Amino acid sequence: MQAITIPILSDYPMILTLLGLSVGGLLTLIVGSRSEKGARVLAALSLLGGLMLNVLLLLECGDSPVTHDFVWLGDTTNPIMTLGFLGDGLSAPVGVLIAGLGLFSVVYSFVYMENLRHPGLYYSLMVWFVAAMLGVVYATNLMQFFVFYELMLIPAFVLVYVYGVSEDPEQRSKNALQFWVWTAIGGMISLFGVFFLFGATGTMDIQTLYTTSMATNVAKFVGLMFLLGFGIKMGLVPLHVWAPPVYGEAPIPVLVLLSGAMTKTAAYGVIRIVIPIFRAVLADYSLGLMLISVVTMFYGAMLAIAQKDLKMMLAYSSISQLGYLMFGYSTMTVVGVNGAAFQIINHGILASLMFFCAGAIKMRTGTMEFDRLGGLAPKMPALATVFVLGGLALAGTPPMSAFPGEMMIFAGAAEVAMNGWAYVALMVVGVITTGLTAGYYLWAIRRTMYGQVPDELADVTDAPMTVLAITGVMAFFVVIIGIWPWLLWQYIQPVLSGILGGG
Amino acid sequence: MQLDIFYIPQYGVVMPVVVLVLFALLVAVLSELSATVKGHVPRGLPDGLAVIGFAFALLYTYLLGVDVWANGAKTYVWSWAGTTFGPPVGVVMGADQLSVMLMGLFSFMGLVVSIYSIGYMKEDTGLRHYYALLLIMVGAMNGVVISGDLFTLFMFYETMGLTSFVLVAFRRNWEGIEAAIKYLMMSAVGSTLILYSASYLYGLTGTLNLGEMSALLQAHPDQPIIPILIALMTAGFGVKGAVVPFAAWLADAHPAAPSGISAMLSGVVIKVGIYGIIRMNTLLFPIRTVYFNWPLLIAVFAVVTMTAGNFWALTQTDLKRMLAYSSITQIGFILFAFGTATEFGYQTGSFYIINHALTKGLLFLCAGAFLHAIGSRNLDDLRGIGKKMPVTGAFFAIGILSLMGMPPLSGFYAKFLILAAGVQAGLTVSGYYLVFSALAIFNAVLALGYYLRMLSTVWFKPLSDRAASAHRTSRSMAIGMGILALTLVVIGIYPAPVYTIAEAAGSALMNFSQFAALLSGAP
Repeated sequence: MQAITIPILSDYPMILTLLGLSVGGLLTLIVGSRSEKGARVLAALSLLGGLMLNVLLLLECGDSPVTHDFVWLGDTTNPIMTLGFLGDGLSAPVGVLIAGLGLFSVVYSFVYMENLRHPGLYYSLMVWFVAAMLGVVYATNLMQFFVFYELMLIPAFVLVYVYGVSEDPEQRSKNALQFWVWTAIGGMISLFGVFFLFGATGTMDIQTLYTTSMATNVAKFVGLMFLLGFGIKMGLVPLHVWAPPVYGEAPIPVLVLLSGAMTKTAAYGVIRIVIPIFRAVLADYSLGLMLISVVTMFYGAMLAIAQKDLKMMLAYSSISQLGYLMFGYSTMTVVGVNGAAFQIINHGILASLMFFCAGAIKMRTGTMEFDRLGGLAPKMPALATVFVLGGLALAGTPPMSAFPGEMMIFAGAAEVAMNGWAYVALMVVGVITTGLTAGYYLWAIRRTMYGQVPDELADVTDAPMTVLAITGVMAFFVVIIGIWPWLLWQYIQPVLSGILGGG
Repeated sequence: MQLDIFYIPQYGVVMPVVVLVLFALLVAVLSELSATVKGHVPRGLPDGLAVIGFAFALLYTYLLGVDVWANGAKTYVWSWAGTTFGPPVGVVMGADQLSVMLMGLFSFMGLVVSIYSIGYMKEDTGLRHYYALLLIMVGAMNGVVISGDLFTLFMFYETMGLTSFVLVAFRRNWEGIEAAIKYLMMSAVGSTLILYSASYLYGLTGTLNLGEMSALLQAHPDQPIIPILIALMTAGFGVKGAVVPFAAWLADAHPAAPSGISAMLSGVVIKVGIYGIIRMNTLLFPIRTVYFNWPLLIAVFAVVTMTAGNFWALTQTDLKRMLAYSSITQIGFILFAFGTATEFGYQTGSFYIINHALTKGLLFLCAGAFLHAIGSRNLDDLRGIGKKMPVTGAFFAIGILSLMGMPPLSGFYAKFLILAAGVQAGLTVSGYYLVFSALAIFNAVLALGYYLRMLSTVWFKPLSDRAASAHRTSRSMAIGMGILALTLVVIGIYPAPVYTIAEAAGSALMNFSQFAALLSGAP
């Protein structure tokens, strides 16, 4: 892809993004206290700017990564913390994903969130949430990574607490606090790992750590600590218990950011930090990690089948899909990790697409429960198209984007399957789960879109134009990347082969 | 305006103390004069004088700091009528980077609390006593950290103790007097232990000067009485420094005092105790392996303090009591950093001292604002008060978030750096520190329990009846709290300047030999 260079914007896209989003959020907050419309416009503009800057970054990072480094704490001879920005083929696509999801969520909120209390607060929190997540993705050193990682929690918490769907404020506060406590504990555990690493190697710079050697048992301990901490955020079984209440509590736009973007920052953390630094030593634990991943996939899928409403089904499905990501990582093979990295982007788009569709159904029919839905396809043809497309994609159907990703993950699993029958068994369960995934998605589609129309839904019309536009764009990407995965692949693969050594 | 014109190099070390004492005298004299002439003390006279006094002290500390950073530690020897009274029994004051950092912190907190007290103590009488005592207390604290010999140290230490005792009992209600008497008793026992240890040290070395003592003790490290002296010193200073098991007075004194004084007590007075422990131990007893490992001992004390403070805090229903127990926990963290006995540990410990003073000061001031508004400190009565007092509530939230260690506030860096220092010590010095670091993290997570409880009570619970009648904070109180909250946010976003100060202070503590030589070699 040709790089389009615009003078200042191309030189400092990441810094400008963070600055622009922070200031934009502040302006949104101030303006929003007077006018909801002003808040909406400002939030959308900030996120649009952020998205464009990230797309610029994506286009130019193919030639060479964009990096900046400022010493923040300590001095140049002994930097304890640097404020660094790294835009390479791995962080730029994730950045585009997060910024794009932020923009889409905010635009979606225009039609979905009606009667907002304090609209300025809502929109500014969304903007700041995206800014914090982007800060995580751009980080070049561990302390900066965790600063933004913890910082992410504050807007997320306030959004869930203030705008949660439960009527009872006690219930909302319980769910929101539980979310915070779990993720804060996960952060602390990871921080312990960071200190260990700092103590053992004397540096927190990620690029330097790739090539630093350390004692094997230290590396094992730190790697496991990191995985534990990230695992809580990603929602691996049995650390996933915070996720279902929060997913149930959050409104759809916030849920898209939580499940589509926030969990991806944890997955990004695994692939940026854990895999390259600890891959050699964690290969011993590959079987255990694969087991946890498969349990997550299977458990998530089983619970998804059992759900009575679309939102919770999609929530559990998200948990299951993150198990796929971890499965790819835990094979510790080049092709498996590559597939998982690819799936970060894909799952981000697809899960959000499904959540948006579910929200649209709720907007038009007032409910997301399967018992009360049915036969909506003739009434909402456009929405049904994207919904079916998304469902099929998540089930792993070619020529949609999830297919190459899942194929690579299972190829990675097959590669390690040579090591023993346990691996083969896990791979088989994984494939079965894929079948289950297809099953519950198709069943959900059947239950909502086809069949008898209940009487109260007789005059349902198609989803609003905004929703159709958003979901249409996302579905377009899903299909395009599915037909031509090289579009995304050209960015991710060079970085990963550099990190992992060998393509 | 050239600020240097205020600076007198020979007296630079003692100016921060002298200025505050002078202003205290000024407050007393002017107030009495106007009381005699006008019949009453004019509103704002003691308050204004105190604010100006603290501002001057801060200025002089800054000028001293510029000098010390450029030229190294400075000393001042008391002289009268031509004779200088140097070692072995004379008065020697010495300021190194640690002293300057602490003096700056004390004066800054004094300034903020004076501004706050303008609004808070509006309904009290006898304000001239209050401000005079406050000025003397901070002056004495400044004096402690620049003392170069045990006599001066003890004198300033006792002055600080007495003034703080009177300030705790300022409102003369039953709770205050009971707390103050408890505080005085325990403080007296602590001071006795220090005095005992100091007398033994004099008998052992023949000098009271810290620098000479340091050299002599290092030359004869196998004196059998030294471990006992270390224990006595640590315990004695530990009473004031809120180390468990000597910290029983905190839980009563901090809530009972007027809130500005609570902020001072929790924020800076207990830091003087910690200063005593660390200065004595690093300067006098830098011998680790002869009898026992005092850094490890301090680390053990620290972990006990942390854990005990946490467990006590979890069950409290009184906001200020909970904050007082939280202070005990945080002191545990600070001592843990100093217990690693590495340079990085000292640096991060100094940074945490700054951070905790600012954070706890802010929280106590906010608690005071709540108390002023509804007349109760009980958490049930405070439910939802943030909605009625949004400005104070926001400052309270900033303080709690900083205490929890959330970015982008200074508490994140402070906690992070201490834990990093602990783990580094664990990997390089002794494996015990790894266990302690894990316990520290456990305590940090445990503390979330009551931090979140405080935060959710103030903001997320439905309004209680009593909280519904809250009035908004007065302007001077808001300004005082706002200064502290702003400092926390600024340090959180850009910690480098303050961290470099803490780095220099920690290094000065570690590399004390030049300072000791300066103290003893002073003519």
